[in-house]
Amino acid sequence: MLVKYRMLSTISNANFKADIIGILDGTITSTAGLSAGADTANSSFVGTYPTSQLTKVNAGTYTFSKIHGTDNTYTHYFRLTFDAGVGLAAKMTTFTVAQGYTSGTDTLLNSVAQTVNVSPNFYNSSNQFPSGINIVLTPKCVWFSSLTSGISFGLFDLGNNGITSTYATNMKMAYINTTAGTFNIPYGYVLSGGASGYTSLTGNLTSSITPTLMSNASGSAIIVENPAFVAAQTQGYAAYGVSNLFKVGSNMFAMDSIYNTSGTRRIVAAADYTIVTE
Amino acid sequence: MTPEKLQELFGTEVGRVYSYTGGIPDNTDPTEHITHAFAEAAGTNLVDCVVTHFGSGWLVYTRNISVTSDEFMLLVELPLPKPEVVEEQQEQQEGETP
Repeated sequence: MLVKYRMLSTISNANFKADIIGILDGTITSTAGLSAGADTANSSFVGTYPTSQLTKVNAGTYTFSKIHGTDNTYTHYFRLTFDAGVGLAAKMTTFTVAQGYTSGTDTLLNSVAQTVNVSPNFYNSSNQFPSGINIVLTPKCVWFSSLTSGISFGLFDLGNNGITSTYATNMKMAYINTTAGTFNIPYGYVLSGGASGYTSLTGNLTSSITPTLMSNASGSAIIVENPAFVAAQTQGYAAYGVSNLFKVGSNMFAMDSIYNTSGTRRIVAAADYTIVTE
Repeated sequence: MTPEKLQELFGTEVGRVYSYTGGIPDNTDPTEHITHAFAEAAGTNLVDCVVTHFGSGWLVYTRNISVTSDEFMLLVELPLPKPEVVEEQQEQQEGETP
């Protein structure tokens, strides 16, 4: 599901939080459900909410569970925090990703908080890039983008590798900053001889090679999409494929551009990465 | 474990590594127990931390939380400062270049 969330200059902190949380928990699936602070005429919802994967586990602390899209034995968690800024100064301050969760005490286990600082901004159609907040919710990722806040990020499913086979508690999702091209796996197994054990892993996104734009026999432009990977030196560069994230040719698209591949929309992040929206 | 080794394991992002010195009751999940103890020391359940076992001890890594407690001993604040001597050596090397 791709949500193009656009806002009015009159938006309040409560409007902003209600819209973001409502979109994430699936109670808002059309523009009719958005708050009075949303620009409903210029917002849109396309696709289906991933009901089987996303669940709000605590309404008070904005905590969600996400089941892995292809391996449902893995469930990880994320939590949003907001500040008390007034109107357009409101802010989603952190996006915390966790390996586990204790519901009784509402405590995240093995978690790392990421500073995101996403603020509402009012829609202006005369901007070169009419901006707002774009949100992708699929069985394999949760992703946010805000041009005016200068960040795009999300929680993405990871594929299997030798590490996940041997150390099954190693997380199979990662926080990825698709603007900076960086990742964090809050709980991954580090191989370091006698000092081996679970830690928080960070690093840079990698791709096998940067593709180029080609044309087919009928002269149509073909956008080549290559897989994206994360790998950490402390795991011997064991690579994880990242679900729903592709590398495209250099400087082909402006951020937040949308294109179709076989009918499925992709939205473009910075640094030539695109996110599958279904 | 040395500060350098801890930085190698936990990375160079801003953060702190504590050693957990408290006990773990039998039949208790150590991660849950230590996380709850850390949350109690921080005074909020809205903590971010990674609990991990290295060698014979339990460590807690956190990006944002600072606690003062008998049960949590601060081992290192990350990232470690870069040694100034390296810069001096670089200047010397640059000066020696013909």
